[in-house]
Amino acid sequence: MAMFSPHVVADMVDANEFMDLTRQHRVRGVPKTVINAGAGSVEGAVPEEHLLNAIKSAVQV
Amino acid sequence: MSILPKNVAQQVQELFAGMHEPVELVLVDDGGDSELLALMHEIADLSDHVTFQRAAAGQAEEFGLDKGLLPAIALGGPQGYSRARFLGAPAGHEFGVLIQDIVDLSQQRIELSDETKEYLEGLTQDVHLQVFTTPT
Repeated sequence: MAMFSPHVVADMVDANEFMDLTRQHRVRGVPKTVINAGAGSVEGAVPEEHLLNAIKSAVQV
Repeated sequence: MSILPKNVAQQVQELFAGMHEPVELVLVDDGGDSELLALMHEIADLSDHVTFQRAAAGQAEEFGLDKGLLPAIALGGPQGYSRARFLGAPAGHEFGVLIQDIVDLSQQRIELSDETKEYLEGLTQDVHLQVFTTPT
C-alpha cells in the first residue's frame, strides 16, 4: 500500500527493539497493525480486505 | 561468520535474480558494529542490483526516517525512498518481507486487489501503518 499511494507510510516495527512504542500501543500479540497512531488497529496476519476495512473505519474517525 | 544460513542466502539470491531496477538499502543508526550492519552487507552482496549505504542518525530525515526511531532501514528504488520502512532488525517473518519489498520495488510490482487500489487512489488524508512484530 505504501508503494502504491503517496498518502501511505508503512513501518515494520521490531517490537522488542521499540518497547516504549510497543507499550504505548498495547501490543500483546504479534503481528499487530496500528493505524494512524491508534485510530484503528488489527491483530493477527489478516487478509488484505480486512486491513482495508480497518483503514476505512480509522480514517473516517 | 555469516548471519544468513547458506540455504537462506541461496533462496534470496534466486529471488534477487528477478530484479529489474537497482535498489539501495540504507541503514541509519548510531554507528558501531552490529549484527544488523553485517546482515545488510550480506544481503547487498547477494545481487549486483542491491547496493548498501550506512548513514548517521542525523541524516535520518533525508531517507524519510525518524531519528527518534533507530536503527531503521530505508529502501531506495526507482522513484526515490520507499514509504515502507523497517524499524529495528528485520528478523523472522520480517526478513522475508524485507526481501520481498526489495524485489517488488525493483520490479515496481504492486500486489493489491482492485478494490484496495481504488480506495487508495481516492485517499485524501495520510495513513500511517505500524506493523508490530517479533523475531520469532
